Amino acid sequence: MAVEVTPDRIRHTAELARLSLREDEIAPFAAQLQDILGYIAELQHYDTVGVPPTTHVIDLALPLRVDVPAAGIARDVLLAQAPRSELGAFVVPQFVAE
Amino acid sequence: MAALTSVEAVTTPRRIAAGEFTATALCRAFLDRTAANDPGIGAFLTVDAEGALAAAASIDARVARGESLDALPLAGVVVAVKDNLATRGLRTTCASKMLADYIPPYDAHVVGRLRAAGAVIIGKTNLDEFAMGSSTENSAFFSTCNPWDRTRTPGGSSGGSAAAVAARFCQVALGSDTGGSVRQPAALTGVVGFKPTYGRVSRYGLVAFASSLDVVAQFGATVADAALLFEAVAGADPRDATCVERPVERPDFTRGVAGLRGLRVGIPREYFRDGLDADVREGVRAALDALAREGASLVDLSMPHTAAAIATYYVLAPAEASSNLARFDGVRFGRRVEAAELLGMYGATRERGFGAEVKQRILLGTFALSAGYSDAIYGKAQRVRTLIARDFTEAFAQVDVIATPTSPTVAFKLGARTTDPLAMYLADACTLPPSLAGVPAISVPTGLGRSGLPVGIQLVGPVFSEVRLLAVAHGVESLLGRVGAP
Repeated sequence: MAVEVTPDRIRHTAELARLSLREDEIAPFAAQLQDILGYIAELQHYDTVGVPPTTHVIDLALPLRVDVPAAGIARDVLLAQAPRSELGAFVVPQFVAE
Repeated sequence: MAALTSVEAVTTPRRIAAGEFTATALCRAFLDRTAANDPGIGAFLTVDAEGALAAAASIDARVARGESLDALPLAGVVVAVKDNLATRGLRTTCASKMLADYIPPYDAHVVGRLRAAGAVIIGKTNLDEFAMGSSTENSAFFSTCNPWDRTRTPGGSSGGSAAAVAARFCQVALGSDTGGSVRQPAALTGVVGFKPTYGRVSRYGLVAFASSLDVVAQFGATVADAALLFEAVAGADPRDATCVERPVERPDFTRGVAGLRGLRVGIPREYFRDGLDADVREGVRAALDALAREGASLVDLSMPHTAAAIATYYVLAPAEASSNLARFDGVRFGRRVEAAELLGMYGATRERGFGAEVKQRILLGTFALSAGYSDAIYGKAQRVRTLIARDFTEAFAQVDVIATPTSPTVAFKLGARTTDPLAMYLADACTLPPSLAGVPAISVPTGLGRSGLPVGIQLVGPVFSEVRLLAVAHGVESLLGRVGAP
């Protein structure tokens, strides 16, 4: 599966990742990603017909526990690590137009 | 008495209890050695002298009151902790500008276990940013040097913890091993690095990189010291749904070399092909010959999907990382770069907060999961992962353990691979397959090569075979001797 990693593809992927890139970062990332995708293409040589995907390496039962209230970390302690907080809440820039 | 900094972790609690030395004296010895020598190594991002001395004083107070230390398996033991494990009240940076000032309001499960066991946490160690790398050069703050040769890397990503144990800045250390991040630096610095089975140790409070692969792992100067640390932190934790409920047993270290007689050791030929340094080839070969002389049987094996591990890992780990690192958005903790609107704030925060390697992996992972490519790239890698895991299942039908080099090379020069991600990925060629299979693996030093640099042998066992694997590793260590300190 040949993929051409164009500057626009890097811009689009960065947008999906919520990552702003400087213009001077785009060409080097495109070149690196092109190299790595070329290397990863070797996976296509392995026959995986009928092979299930591994999402988890050990057998896990679905763990259940009794649903009881327990103390968590206090709100003010958590908010103390926030870059901006007011009135007991995280503050973010506007995201809905007035 | 020899220097306190050469005291083994396993003998520490009983020697403190017997009054041979105090926990405070031991702690001060390591703090002094670190203060004098770490500026030339760069193992630590944060040294917590105050916290360490307070923990040591509380052990000494118990002894002074005539209380037993029997319930504290790490009483007074000086431990370093990789800086991607949350420590309550103590800066936890992941070696990233994103978390340069982050003070966790809670302890990682393993850190809580350390405190409950009486350990003295001396500080937080350097790493590749968010554990992404194999040389500790991706730290946003500084690189760590190899104590054996300061122009070379200690490996990574847990290079700070490895260097701290090798340089005797602490007795044992915690790291995290996602694709070899404890075993590879252990090999490059001449110490023991143990990655338990996936799910054996709680990941609660380990800053997530690739959740299906991340394992909290242990460093020690000896197998027994690494095992002591493992026992103290392993076991069920309801806060990590992937952490299994299985008793953690104590390995039997009484048999030593005798335990190797009759052991079936698989030698997968795919690990001994091109690209091995002569030092590594000779060191591992000599170790295997020594095992055979003690009555172990060496079994030639093929594990045909070994070569696929790097490509598989470098799809799956970045894919998981791109999802896990979405939480660093400037809202709840960590760095924030202000912007007029929300998406701009996210993008600018992440652009300024993450280093180049992290961005590259986020881009790769996001691409691998994006519409039109996720089945062909991510789905394919998940299927090949199954084939790699089956190689191990089939091998363990014939042998008790598998032996390979830990790293294809001895410690490489700082800067040698930083501009070529694919060259850096090759450092993990031998450690990635056990990570993808979830099986436990340990790196034990075989000695110094002609270069004067340490070489490690990797021993791999079936899932949850820690007790057996550690006993075998102890036998191998007894047979080969220790490399000593640089």
